[in-house]
Amino acid sequence: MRPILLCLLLCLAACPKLPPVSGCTPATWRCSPDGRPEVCSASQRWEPAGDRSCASVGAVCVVERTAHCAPAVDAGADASEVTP
Amino acid sequence: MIAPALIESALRAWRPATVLRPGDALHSVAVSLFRALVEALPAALRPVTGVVLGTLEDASQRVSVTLATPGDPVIVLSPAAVADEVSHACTLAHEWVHVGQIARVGRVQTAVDYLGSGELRAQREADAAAVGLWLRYVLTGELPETAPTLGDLYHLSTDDAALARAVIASHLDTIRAGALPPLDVCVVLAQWLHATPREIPADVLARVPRVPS
Repeated sequence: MRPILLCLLLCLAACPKLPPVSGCTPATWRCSPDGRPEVCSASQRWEPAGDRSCASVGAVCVVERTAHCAPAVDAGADASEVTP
Repeated sequence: MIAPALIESALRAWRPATVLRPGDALHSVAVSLFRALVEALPAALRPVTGVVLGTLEDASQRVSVTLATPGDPVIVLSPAAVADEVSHACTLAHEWVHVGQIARVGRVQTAVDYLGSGELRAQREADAAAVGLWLRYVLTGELPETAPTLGDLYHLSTDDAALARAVIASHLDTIRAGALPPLDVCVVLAQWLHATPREIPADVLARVPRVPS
């Protein structure tokens, strides 16, 4: 039992920590639920572009050609522009 | 131009690391360690890890590396990296992305991920490459039209090279949109640049979005 446990621990410690397989279509894009740009890898995993969310850099995640961060639009200012 | 030493100071204040430059006494020692490391690997592991480490040894004249050590990470800069001040600064920023990855993931896991998965190697090198491109854009105003290919350097499969290119394309679109790439090193440098405006040329500062503190 002990060798098996040891092997399991070594395997856990020595395996690359890939994101889970999601079944996504390779080369497609999305914004993750917490607002990070992600691209689907050939192994059908969502891989992030960056190490933090768009919101943390004062931006929002958008999907236009690619998933990426874009400056957050000031909704209040936009509303005032269209209100007579 | 902002002196690379100032960039290094700002990054070191965030995450400590030791930088070895060509000409430093320890630089040649570090480069020669690559060969010893490859030779010390068990034969069974060489097909997996030796290919990457062997590349480091062969390419040490033009490739900079960050090594996870029991102490602070060690950045070994190549002669090409210090050939001019912009390249020097951009390479420091690139390598500090790896310093951040080591801090976030852990020394052992970083090495396991990097050597054991082409997909993770592609993702992490793409983020680091994007930081270098972003800083070059900030310092010079130059931004490539399309995402560069990382090439043979990192021993990526066709699929993993495409992943790296896609990640870089996302960061380039972020820069073109006028936002800061969502990367710790970009945030650290953006905050530092805006905190020291007297030392920073106005055109440079204009290319750096403000970020929430």
